[in-house]
Amino acid sequence: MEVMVSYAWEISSGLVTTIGLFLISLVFGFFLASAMAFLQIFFRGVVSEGIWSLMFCIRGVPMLLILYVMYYGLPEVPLVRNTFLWDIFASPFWCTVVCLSVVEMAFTSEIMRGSYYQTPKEQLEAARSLGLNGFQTFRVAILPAMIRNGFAAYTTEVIMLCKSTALAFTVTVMDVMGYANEIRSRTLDTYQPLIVAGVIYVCLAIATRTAMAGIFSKIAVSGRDRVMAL
Amino acid sequence: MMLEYLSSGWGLQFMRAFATSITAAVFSFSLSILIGIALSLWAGSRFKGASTLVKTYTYIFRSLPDILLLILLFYSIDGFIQSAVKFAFGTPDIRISPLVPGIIATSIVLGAYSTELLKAGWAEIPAGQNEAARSLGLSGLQSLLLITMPQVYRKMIPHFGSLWLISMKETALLSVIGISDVVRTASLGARSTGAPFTFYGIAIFIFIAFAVASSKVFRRLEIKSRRTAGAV
Repeated sequence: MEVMVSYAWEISSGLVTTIGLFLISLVFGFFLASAMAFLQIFFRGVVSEGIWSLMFCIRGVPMLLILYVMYYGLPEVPLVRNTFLWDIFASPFWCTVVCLSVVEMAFTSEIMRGSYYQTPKEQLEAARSLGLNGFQTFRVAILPAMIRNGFAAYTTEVIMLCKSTALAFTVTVMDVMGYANEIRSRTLDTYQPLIVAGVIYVCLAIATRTAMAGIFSKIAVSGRDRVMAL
Repeated sequence: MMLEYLSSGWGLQFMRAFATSITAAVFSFSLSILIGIALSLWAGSRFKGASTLVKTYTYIFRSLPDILLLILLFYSIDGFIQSAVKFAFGTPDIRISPLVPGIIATSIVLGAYSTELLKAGWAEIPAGQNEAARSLGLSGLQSLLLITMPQVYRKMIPHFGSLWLISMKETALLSVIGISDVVRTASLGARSTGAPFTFYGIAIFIFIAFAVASSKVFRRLEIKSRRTAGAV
């Protein structure tokens, strides 16, 4: 038990890194995904299809492979080595952030696109016939419906992102998993450090779920309240 | 350049690695669905506490990083298999491929996802369907296989499609444990030849081609199941 406590002490020093990876890539991923979903919805044809295919490809490739390409592959490119990009890709932390954001973008943009097309057409037409312009229609008729339809899937995706941060240890980032793995290879004790790390990740996931449920109950107002507020 | 590497022995390596990845994916996909069916039936059964236990399993396994679970399960199962072999044959000399504990570990991790999917699919089938089948004189098993399962299957196909893709991606994590799958072969090649883009490019190409092919297959299965929906 004492050993476990000393492990917990050491492993928890990686907690800031894990939470940093998680939150930074969550924000980046969300904005990138919004941009990609916007491009796919409002520019039909080649642009939309091209972006969709790119997102499909990113979703089909294991994150570990993308991480390896960014960390071991990109430094070989002169463009990366000689410009400001080197500051980003020389650090394993920022490499992981870029990788996580890109993967998050691919999954979240599909959730956004899906929930946009789930909105009934009549709802749009009704808003238009009330004399609302494009942006107002989006704000009143589409966005609330999108949040209602897509939030559960997005919560699952956020939990997935939280879990994916653990892969960072494969490129030498010292996060929770990194410290657990370091103890594991130093002491040859497989179970205890991993169990301690596991408890930390379960707590993180519970906290994330609670936070997401709180956010959902705050922002998912019914469609009628939105019209009243306008 | 790519062809040069592929013909100089790396092609064979990649083919072997792809076979390993596919084997791991197929077995862990099938096993995880079996786990899902068994657990969602068990959760709905009369046993008190069964549904709580299943819920705890899916909740914890879906909250933990897959790589952490894989390492933890891999070493436990590997140790277990080795002592079982020693007990059964009397000698510790028989080597079991590390792929076996690897596959079992990924199946248990993916089993949490498929249990959750199947439980949701099951809940959508009205209880009256089963009751009607029973009143027609079908046994419990017949009703399950002939009435409930085909409907669950039809609802689940798109979800199974994504679970299949997740299984394939999950096998990439086995490379961290030391099993020579596509990702590990690519990293070894990249490191020993100093041409990371060629080797990672081949691996990425394999995964994308695989994802495209499987999404086509699953779309066809979905269309086919819709067509036969009225016939049953």
